[in-house]
Amino acid sequence: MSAVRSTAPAVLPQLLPHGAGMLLVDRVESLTPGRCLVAAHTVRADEPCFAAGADDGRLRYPPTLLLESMGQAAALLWMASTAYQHEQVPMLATVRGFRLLGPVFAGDVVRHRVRLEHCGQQSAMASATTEVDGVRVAEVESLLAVGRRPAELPAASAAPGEVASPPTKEKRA
Amino acid sequence: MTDVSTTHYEDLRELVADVLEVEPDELTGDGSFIEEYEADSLRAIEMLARIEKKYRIEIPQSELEKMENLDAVYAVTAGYAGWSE
Amino acid sequence: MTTTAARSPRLGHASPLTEMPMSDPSYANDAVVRLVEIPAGGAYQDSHFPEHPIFPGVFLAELCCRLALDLVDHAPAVWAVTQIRALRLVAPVHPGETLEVRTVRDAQAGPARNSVDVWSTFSRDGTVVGTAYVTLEPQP
Repeated sequence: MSAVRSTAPAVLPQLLPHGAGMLLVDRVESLTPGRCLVAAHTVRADEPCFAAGADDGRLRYPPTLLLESMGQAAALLWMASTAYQHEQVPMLATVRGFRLLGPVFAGDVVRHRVRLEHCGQQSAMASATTEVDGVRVAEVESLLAVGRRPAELPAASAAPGEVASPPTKEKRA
Repeated sequence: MTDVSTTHYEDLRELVADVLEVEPDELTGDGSFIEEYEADSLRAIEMLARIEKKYRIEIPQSELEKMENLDAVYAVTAGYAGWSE
Repeated sequence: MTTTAARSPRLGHASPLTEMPMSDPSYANDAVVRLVEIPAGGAYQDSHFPEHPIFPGVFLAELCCRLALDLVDHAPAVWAVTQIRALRLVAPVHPGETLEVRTVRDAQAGPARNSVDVWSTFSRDGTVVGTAYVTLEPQP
């Protein structure tokens, strides 16, 4: 049985490869494998982004970290599906249509509802909405995650800029 | 049968054009995605995921290297989707 | 009537980015170009990932929002990020790399009055590694 399917939903976030500072999902509250998931994260006042403080009132949580938190929730839903291959690292590849509908502050509990639109062995697509106290604060039309093999990624001891995969010729689309 | 195959082909044209961010009528059947439409490896993955989702099929990533233009995308998709056209 | 000195525009949310050395902006054909050095370390980056240091992809969107300030009007002074319309992470970016970031403001008006749509292309050694497309609006 895979590690994901033998892990209680509440502690599933521990299976993500992120270290503590970048782990932005606290717990999975409900899970229907292959379909949907609800996950929660408390935005803490001691998160590094708030370290600089504010001189004019409460600082708003960065929308990009909210998006990262949604992406991690989506990764967990993919990891819990039968198609997921566990020797890979799930990574965000594309985002379409992320909207911030209201500000998020330290102390808020953000609750992501993620729907798996499609998943395969090496990629997955999801949509998600995020609420605080039942009020929608964000939504994303489409997230695409891909799985990268650890051998493709630089080790922590590698020289800066040492890249495993060769560059390809690309131009702005 | 011909109408169905045309529909499938045109549906794939719309999907691929959307992924490549070009107009559908700019896509030719044998135009190379990489050389003529500046597609990168991520576009290929996006295209595969969206085809799999649309037709509820699974296509191995090993097929990606064959799917180099619209005609090839149609041929591979037809095979896995079981279109007998 | 009192006058106030023009303040540099800023984003209204807390910044998740550590200090990022970057070149002065150069303007060409309605685009602003900066060279940006991806830093190593920092509370978020040290955790992404402990075994494999990769610059978080969402931080390319964050960088796009920050560099959009090169292209917005000075008044209003505070801008809110309301949309990340598109983000494409073509290849992983690593600490120590230098990216060329080309940022363009859409000529057409954004979805709301005074909103601004901005597009950034991130390149490493001439190869595109990511693109971001965001919308900023004056923060009330």
